[in-house]
Amino acid sequence: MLPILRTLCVFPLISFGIAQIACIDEARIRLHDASSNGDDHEGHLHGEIDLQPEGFPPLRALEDNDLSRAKAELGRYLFYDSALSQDSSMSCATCHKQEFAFTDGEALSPALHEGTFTKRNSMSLTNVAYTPFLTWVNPTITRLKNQAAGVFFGEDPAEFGVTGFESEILGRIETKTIYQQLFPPAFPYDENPWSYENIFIALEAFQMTLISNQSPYDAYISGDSNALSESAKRGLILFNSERLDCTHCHNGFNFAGPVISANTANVEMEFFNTGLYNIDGEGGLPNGDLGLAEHTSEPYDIGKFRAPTLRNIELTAPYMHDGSVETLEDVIRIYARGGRLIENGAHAGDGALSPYKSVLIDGFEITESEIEDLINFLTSLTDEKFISNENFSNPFEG
Amino acid sequence: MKRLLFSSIATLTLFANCAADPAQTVSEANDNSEQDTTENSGDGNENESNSEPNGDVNSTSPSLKRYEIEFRSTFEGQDFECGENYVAGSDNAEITPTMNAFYIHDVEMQNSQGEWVALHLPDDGVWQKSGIVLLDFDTTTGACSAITTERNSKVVGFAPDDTYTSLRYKLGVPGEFNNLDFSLQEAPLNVSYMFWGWMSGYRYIRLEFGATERGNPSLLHIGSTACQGNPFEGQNMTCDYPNRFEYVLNDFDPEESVVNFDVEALLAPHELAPPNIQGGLICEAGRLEPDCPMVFETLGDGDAEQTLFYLSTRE
Repeated sequence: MLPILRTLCVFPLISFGIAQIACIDEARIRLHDASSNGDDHEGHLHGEIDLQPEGFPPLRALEDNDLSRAKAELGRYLFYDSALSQDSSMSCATCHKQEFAFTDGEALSPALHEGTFTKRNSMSLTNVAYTPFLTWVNPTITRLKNQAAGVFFGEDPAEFGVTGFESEILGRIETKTIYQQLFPPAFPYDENPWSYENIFIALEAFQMTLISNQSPYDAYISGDSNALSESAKRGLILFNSERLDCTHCHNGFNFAGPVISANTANVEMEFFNTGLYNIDGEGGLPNGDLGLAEHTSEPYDIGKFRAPTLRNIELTAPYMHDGSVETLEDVIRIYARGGRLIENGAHAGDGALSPYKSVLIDGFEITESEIEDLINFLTSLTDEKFISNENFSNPFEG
Repeated sequence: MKRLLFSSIATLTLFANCAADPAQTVSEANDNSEQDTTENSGDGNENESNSEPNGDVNSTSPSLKRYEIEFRSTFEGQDFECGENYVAGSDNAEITPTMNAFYIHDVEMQNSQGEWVALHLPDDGVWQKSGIVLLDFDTTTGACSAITTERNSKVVGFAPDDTYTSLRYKLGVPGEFNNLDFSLQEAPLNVSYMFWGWMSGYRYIRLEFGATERGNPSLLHIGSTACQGNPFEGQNMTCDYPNRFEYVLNDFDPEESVVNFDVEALLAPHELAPPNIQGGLICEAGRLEPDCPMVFETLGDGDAEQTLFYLSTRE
C-alpha cells in the first residue's frame, strides 16, 4: 500500500486554555503500518488504526504518542504478558479480560500479594480512548500511560509490584525474541527503546484502539430499524426520558460522562455522588473511601465518582466503584429509589439521604415492564464483535 | 488585511492553515480566530482567491468589519461571578453561583437604513459554530462546579462597516441543531454540561446557584419542551414550546454597549432559601412547574415584556 501524503488536520487552534492542536501525520502512521506489514506475525494486529471510528468523533492526538499499528501491536503483547509483574503472576489482562469488555467479573480484583485487593472495581476499557479522566475518580490521571505506571509502581496495594524489581523485569522483556521483533518498529527513532516509558506508551497505543461501535444499538442508530427489539426501542426512549434522566450522566455516543476527542475544545470534568452509601447518616463510604474528595479535599466532593460508559455494560458486572451491585436490575432499582438502602451490617444506612448525594439522583417511578425494556436497551449496547475481535485478543494464545 | 475585509465569510472560514487538503470538511468548518484578532498582522494567508466579493453580505456595503459584542452576567450592576455572594430573591437570601451559561443564535444588527443585517459568526472551534454562540460565565472559582475552567463573554462576528443602532438575537440553539447527538458535534455544541437529552436537545440557559446558609440548591434550565418525534430513527422533532425567545435591544452601539444578562431580574420574584423545602428556585422549563411562569415572564414569553437582557455602556 502506498502511503497517502495527506495531513489530517483535526483542529486549528486558538488559545482558549486547554484546547490543543491535533494535526496527525497520517502519512507517518501508514509508513508504520507498512513496516509492520513486512513481517506479518501470525496473530498480530490486522488492519489500520482507525483514527475516525464510524459514528464516533475523531480520536484526540496524544502529544508524545503518535498512534501506529506497530506500537499498538507491541502494546497488545505487553498487555497480555505476565512477565511484567513481580512474580510473573499478573498481566493487564488479569483484571481486564476481553470477554468481560476488559473487566474481570470481580467486585474488587485480587492484587499481587495474597489476600490483597485493588481499592476499586476494575474499569471497562471500552472506548477508553475517549475518557478524559481515567480511573474512577483521580482527576490527575488523564493519560493511559500514566494510569499504567500506577499499576506497575503503585504499592497500595501492589499490583505489578515492579518497585525494587525494575531491571529484572525490564530484562525479561528485552530478552524475549518477540519483543526484539516488536520494539524497534514501534519506536523507530529510539536507539534504545527498552524503557518503562516506552512500555507505557505502547500499552496506551493498544488501549486507544479498543473501540466498540458495532453493537445492535449502533446498527439501529445508523438506520437498521430491525436491529433492536420493540422492547429495547421502548427502553431507549425511557433511557432518554426526562423522567429517568439517565442521559444526564450517561450521554452521547459513549453513554458516559464527558469525553475527550479531537473535537473537544475545553475538557469537562464531572463526578457524581449517586447515594450508594450513607454510613452513620453522615454520607460515609466503606473503608473510609472519600471518592473525589480524596484528591480535592473538598467536603462537597465526598463520595463522587465518574460515570462510566454503559457500552458493554451487560458484560461488566458487578457494578459501581466497588462492585457492590450485582445486576443491572438492582442498579435501576437503586436509581429509581433515589439511592441505596442498606438495612443491616457495617455499611447500613440510607444512601438516598446522604448529605453528599447529587440533587440529580431524586428517584423516579418505573414499572416492572419498563425495567425489562430498559435492560433490553442496555444489553443492546453489547458489542459481540468487540469481545471477539482478534486484534484485541491474547496473542500468546493465538 | 484590507483585501480580506472584502472577502466573504465563506472564504474566511478557509483559513485553517494546517490543512494541506482544503477539501476536508473538518478544516473548512473552522476559522482561525487568532488571525481575526490581529487585523494588522499582515499574515500570509490572504491571497487573490480570497478577495472576491460574495453575495453572502450586503453588496451595498463593500467593507466587512469585525465586531465584538460584549456580554456580561450582571447582578444589580455588578458582575454575577463565581466565588462571590449575592443577596437575592423575594426572601433576600444570600446565594453563590455554581453554573451560568447560555446559547444564542441569529445575531443581527440594525443599520442606519433600518435594515437588519446578519452578524456572520466565524466558527472558532471553541465558542462559536454555525452562527451559534455559547456564553459561559462560570469558572472553577469558589463553589462553581468546575466542569470547565474557561469562560466566554463575547460574540465575535463580521458585518458590513456601518452604523448600527439595535441588536437582536435568539435564545438557544436552532431547531436543526437541537436534536442531534450532541457528542458528535463540534464545539460549542459538544459540551455535555449544556446538553439536556436527545429528545429535548440543549439547555439554552443553565443557571445554578446555592443558598449559602441553608444550602438550598436552585437550578434554572431553559430549553425546548414537549417535543415529539423519534430522533433515534432520524425523525425531525417538533416541540410545543421551542422557547427560543428573540431579544431586540435598542440604543445599541457595537463599540460601546454591553449586553447584560440580568440575573437579578430573573431571581427577584422567587424565594431562594425557603425554610421548609430542599430546593430554592427550580425551573426546568416545564409550563406546569410552580416556579416557571415567573421565569418565563422575565424571559418575555407570550405578551410579557422581557427583562432578562438590557444594554449598558462599557466601563
